[in-house]
Amino acid sequence: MTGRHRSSQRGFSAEFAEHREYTAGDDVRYVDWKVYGRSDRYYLKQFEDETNFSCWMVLDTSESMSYRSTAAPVSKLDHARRAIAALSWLVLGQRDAVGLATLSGALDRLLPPSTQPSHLDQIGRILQETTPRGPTALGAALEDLATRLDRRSLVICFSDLFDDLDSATAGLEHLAWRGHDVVVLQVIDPAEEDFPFEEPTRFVGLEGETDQVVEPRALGEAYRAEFQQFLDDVSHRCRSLHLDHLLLRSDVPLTVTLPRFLEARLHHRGRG
Amino acid sequence: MLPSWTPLAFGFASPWLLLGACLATIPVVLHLLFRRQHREEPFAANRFLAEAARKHSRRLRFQHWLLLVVRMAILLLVAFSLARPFVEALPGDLDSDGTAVHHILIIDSSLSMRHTAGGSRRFDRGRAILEKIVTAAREGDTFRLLTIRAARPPVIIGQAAGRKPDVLAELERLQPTWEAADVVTALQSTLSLLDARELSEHQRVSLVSDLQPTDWQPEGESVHSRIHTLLAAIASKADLVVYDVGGSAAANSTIVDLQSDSPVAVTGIPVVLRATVKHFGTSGAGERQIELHVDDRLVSRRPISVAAGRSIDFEWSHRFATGGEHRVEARLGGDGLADDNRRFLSLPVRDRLQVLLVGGRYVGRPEDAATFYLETALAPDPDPARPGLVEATTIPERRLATEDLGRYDCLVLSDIGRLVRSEADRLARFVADGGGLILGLGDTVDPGSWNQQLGNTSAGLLPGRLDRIVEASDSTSGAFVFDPGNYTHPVLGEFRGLADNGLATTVTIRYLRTRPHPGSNVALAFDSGDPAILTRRMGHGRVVLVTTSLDDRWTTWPVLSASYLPMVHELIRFAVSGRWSARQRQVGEPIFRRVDATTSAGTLTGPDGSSHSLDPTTPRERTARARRAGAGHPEKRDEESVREIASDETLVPGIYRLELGPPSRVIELFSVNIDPAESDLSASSPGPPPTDLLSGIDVPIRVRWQPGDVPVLSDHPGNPLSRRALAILLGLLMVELIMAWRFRVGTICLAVLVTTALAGWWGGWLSGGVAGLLAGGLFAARDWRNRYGRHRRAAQTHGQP
Repeated sequence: MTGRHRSSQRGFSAEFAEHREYTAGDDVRYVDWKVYGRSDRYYLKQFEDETNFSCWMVLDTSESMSYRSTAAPVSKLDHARRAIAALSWLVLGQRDAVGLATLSGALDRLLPPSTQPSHLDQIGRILQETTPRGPTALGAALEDLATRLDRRSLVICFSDLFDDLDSATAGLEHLAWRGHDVVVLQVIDPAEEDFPFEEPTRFVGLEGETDQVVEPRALGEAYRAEFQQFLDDVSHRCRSLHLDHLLLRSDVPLTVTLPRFLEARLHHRGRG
Repeated sequence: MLPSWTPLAFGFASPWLLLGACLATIPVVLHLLFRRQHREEPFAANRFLAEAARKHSRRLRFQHWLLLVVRMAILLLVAFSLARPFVEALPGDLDSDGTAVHHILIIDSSLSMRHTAGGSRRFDRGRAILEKIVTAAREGDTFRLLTIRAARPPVIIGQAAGRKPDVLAELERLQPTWEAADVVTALQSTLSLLDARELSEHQRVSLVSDLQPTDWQPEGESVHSRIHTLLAAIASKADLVVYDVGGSAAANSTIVDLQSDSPVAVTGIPVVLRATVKHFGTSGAGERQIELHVDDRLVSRRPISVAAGRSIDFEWSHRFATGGEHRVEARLGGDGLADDNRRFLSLPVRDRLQVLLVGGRYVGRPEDAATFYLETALAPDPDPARPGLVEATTIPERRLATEDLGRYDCLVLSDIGRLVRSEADRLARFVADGGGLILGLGDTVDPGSWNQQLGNTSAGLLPGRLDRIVEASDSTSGAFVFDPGNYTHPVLGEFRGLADNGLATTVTIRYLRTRPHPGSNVALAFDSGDPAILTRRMGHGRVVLVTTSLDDRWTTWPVLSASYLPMVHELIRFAVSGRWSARQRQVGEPIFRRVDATTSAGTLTGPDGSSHSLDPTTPRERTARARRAGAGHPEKRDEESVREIASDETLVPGIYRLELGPPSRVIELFSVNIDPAESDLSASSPGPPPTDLLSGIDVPIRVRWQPGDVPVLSDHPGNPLSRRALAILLGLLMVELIMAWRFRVGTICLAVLVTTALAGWWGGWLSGGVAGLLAGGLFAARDWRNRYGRHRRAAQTHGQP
């Protein structure tokens, strides 16, 4: 069973595409003997690749993803879960394969891609069973994931990237190096970007960071600048690795952000 | 604005309010509490908070402390402003720019300033303050001197004097008076002097007073607001400093009134002398001895006790054995203000009141005479032990033109038909000189002639215009009776409270309807509403008009009513009282008396023994004098032929002796008393002076002069230190709010405020405003440049255009 997703790569598949002249080292199985009989020259048959499209949903389940401010309807993790479910449904609807990997300190669970419609139930079950825990170690987990993926795929990474950014970038780079099309959907809470707090507050870290006693009116501006610099840094790194990067604010409905993401992907393919 | 840099002495008008500076610890306490009380919030992006705090820790600490300092400064400024700070120049360092100072010295010399406490009078303490101001002044300064009093113009030194010894000598000559204080006139004169000076000149007004409440806080709203307006105007033109020498609150008792029950006494008949003593004070009773002296002899001494804030009357019955002028004096035991403990009364005593009865009808039988019932009512008592008040003489109408009216105290005309002009003029002069005139009507009276001759005299002798005869048949009840109303007129005083006084039962069958002239009073009316008895003043005398007859032709009054006899006596007593009414004067008022054409001179001897010759003056001279005095004159409407002698304003309380002649030698006594309002020392001190009077005027109030206590520079009402502090306080409040909202913007505002305040201090508010705007623009531009530059560098780093 083949999916409707059209690959841009040419390989050795069933549907003929064109001939090319044989060169040393080519697989002799694809030599077109009929052409050889007519022209006494070796030509190889080339076919349009109609392989199944494979997509990996990578979910960061560290403690920081459980954060939900009063301004947000759901936590970052729940927001990512919903996005994964929606995209999985879309991929499976195209008869393409989708898989799921959850990771926090390390790679937790791995559900291989499948094109079966019932696969969506499995994805949903894993998403439901997943609980946030532990600090983020995104880099190592992505490295591990990269070694396990034997087929080039679209890898969509859902994370707040509250990690050592160099390590995380290395993991993403490894994935890209292995030929995967990597997309980073960075999930953030509105309070993390806007920092709307007014009263003096003790901010308790979710991943074991030191508590911060802060007067938000005094530090708010500096924090916002710091966070914006972080976002800019992430964006800059993704751009340098030719990765797609998109912010998913948990207070913005997916009906707004996902169409925008898909539209951006369409443009991306058009250019590619 | 400080004219130049001068060594300054700093102080506070209300230093105890500096305790409010303790409030400045509140932000520190809140800060400490704040460190322990905060809410907890789980947060995923703590690493960015930590990083932001690490990077901005120094700036945050600076913000924190700056905000704390601003908040503490706000509370300190509150206490600072409430304490009314002032800055003064030290002696000898004033006006180092070389500008001469024009001093206007004002001292209250009213009676209340004679109050003695601690061995010194208020006036002396005030004078000492002014002497110190003069002594401490620089060479080149000029001085003017004014007093606050009522009888004389306030300006003592009108031309600016530069020689200190002259000014000190003038101050030394000043003495407190027995007068009230005319504050408005003194302040108006001060303002005129200020207006006359060069604007560039530094002017200082030093006002010394005990701020006696009736003078400085009069009940009249218009006077009160006038004083306030004048003080504000003075304070806007000069440095005004008020020295309150009132000292501690003083309770004071005084005799506010001394009267006899009759303006003239008769030998052998007891007269009631009544003194009213009032205790001005808020607590305690005024325990005193009160004495009555007659002709400088002690006749009675009694202890008295008057509750605080109350007054009490004391009466003595005294019988004068001899006629003539007598002096009566009530004395009170000593207190802090001894000068108001004496009250004087000049009382003329006559052997009898001489009454001339003039009948206007042909006499057949004695009882037919128009004066028959009057003679009967005034006939002496057969009992020689009960001498009568009146000695009556009856003459026919025809002798009116030739009779020597000067011998009589009162004239009664009963049913006189017509009066010729010469007779009317004689009557007018008689009344103007203080005589009493009683007019009774009857069938013979020609209303037209009366209206023409008596109504048209220059002084208006007739109290009303005679209209027409009203008959009993015009009344629904067939007769008229008296309606005494509320017995408010003095002639009805004897009848008040007597149920069967006979007035309401007196039947009148005819009267002449009379329309009262303006200035006349209706003493008694008929039940028809028409006047029955009318009175009016004319000159020193009084005129009484009875609109019915004084015999039995028109009324049953003399025959059937018990009220006739006492009413005749009361009318005579009332009519003659005008002659002596001008004998009681107040300090500051002149003594005057009408004299006839033969009187060539008079001599007035005061209680201090000083004598002054007085010449009779003509009407034109009197008018000019009244115009100079700026006040109404009591005899403005008199005829031209009347002459008068008048003294200057009386300045000392006591008995004045006026001797007229030659040719005839007449001696009369006049009593002059103080204004008892000056005796109220209760509310003048201690505590703040009349703050409502000074509301809105930033005038420093001092109680003493100290070395260095020269007129204030920085507490100038147009540029007060406390007002500046309040302005800065308001600015800091706004800055604090802005800093809490946007610290960067708040810092710019703080810099602008500080620049404005400093520039305003040295160069005035205009300079401060300009400097503030410039500073604000510079700081804002610098901040914008920093922010824009940083963003641009960041954009370049991220590869954005």
